Amino acid sequence: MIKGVYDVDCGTWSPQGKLIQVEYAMEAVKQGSICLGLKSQEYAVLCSLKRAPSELSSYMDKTFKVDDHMGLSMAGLTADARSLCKYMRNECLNYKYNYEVAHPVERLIFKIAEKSQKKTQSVSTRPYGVGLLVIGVDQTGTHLFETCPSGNFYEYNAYSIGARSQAARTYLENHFQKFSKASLERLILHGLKALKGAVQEETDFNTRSVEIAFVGLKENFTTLKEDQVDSYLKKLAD
Amino acid sequence: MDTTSSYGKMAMYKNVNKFEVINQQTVYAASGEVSDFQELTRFLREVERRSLNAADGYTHNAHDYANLLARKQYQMRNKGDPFLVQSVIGGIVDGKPYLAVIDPFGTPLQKTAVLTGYARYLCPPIVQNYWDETADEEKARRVVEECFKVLFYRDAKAVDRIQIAIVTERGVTIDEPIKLKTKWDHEAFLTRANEKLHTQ
Repeated sequence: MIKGVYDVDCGTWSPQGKLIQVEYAMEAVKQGSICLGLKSQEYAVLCSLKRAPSELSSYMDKTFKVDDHMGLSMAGLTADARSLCKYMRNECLNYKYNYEVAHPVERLIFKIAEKSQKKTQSVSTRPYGVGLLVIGVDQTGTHLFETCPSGNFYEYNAYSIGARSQAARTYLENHFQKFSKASLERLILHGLKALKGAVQEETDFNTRSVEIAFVGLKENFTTLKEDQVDSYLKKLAD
Repeated sequence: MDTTSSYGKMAMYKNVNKFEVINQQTVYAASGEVSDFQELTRFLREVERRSLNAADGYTHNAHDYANLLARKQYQMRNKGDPFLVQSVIGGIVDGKPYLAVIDPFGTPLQKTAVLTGYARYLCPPIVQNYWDETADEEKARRVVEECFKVLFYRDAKAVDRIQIAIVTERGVTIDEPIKLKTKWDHEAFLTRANEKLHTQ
């Protein structure tokens, strides 16, 4: 996939009209382990599959809380995700300090997009190598957003990013009409089914490697504990 | 709100509109230094404009603006250069009326009735005795007029022109200024006290 002399930095266009460094950054997202999000009118859910760097280590967390009303899951470079998450948390705190209300979700995503875009227009820095799936609630309802290293952002009813995410997306495409009025439990089960479809035989799909988080119009962002994940995985098996 | 802009004790401009409509659910007014009020208006309008530019269906409401003003006034107070105003934000938040006052220190207080300036000293009994939250618009207007009447009687620097702004779910209306009906033909004003003493 070597594109010759046009892929050295973000300051160079390729003859096909592409910024190849940005595309490489998006490849890093595609190589990351899968995470997916889906939402109803009342809840938004994130499901992710964690990876362990080795047999000896623990699984690396992919889900981070940004504020009471917002959280994210990532695929790609975890360090870049932490950096963006830190920025988002700071922005949420400042907004709450100034306005005494939660940061509107789309406005924060827009700030991330602006930040990401700057990195695609510089010779000396590299783009962020992480895609974020952000769930949140604000006065306009529940939201699910995806951010890209390119600086684009998209809003979804349901989506998946990372390795083998196409399988999950197919499941979500076939079932998303059922999500709008689904209960929280149904929504999480849908998410887990979609996740399972993207998991290979050898990969761990258990309470230690699966991460579930949700946020609701009346409920704060919560990451489920191991025993709660366990009960959902058991329900899935039935 | 009265319609004067004073230069110290001198009522330099007597027909000034001192309500600023920030958006259709928020009105801003202030008591104190008019230039500071204008500066804060500029600040609030800038914030509103950024919402307009974002065009994402989200707008700030009166509660957001009240807190923002509190933060701004607090910031300047900490620098030893306070905005010498008592800011008042009135509006509708989540379908309910919202009213808050922010003092020059940056303290926000959400209240159902706000009195600033000389009204803090002269008007509490009027508001307490003749108005409560169940009063209708007509009663509220009469109480407001009565308060300003007392202020005009008692404050030598005051002018008898006032304006009332109403915010409802349908939007903001700022009425034309009205002249207060005050009585100056008291016996005591027509004849000097101790007439005999003065004419001897």
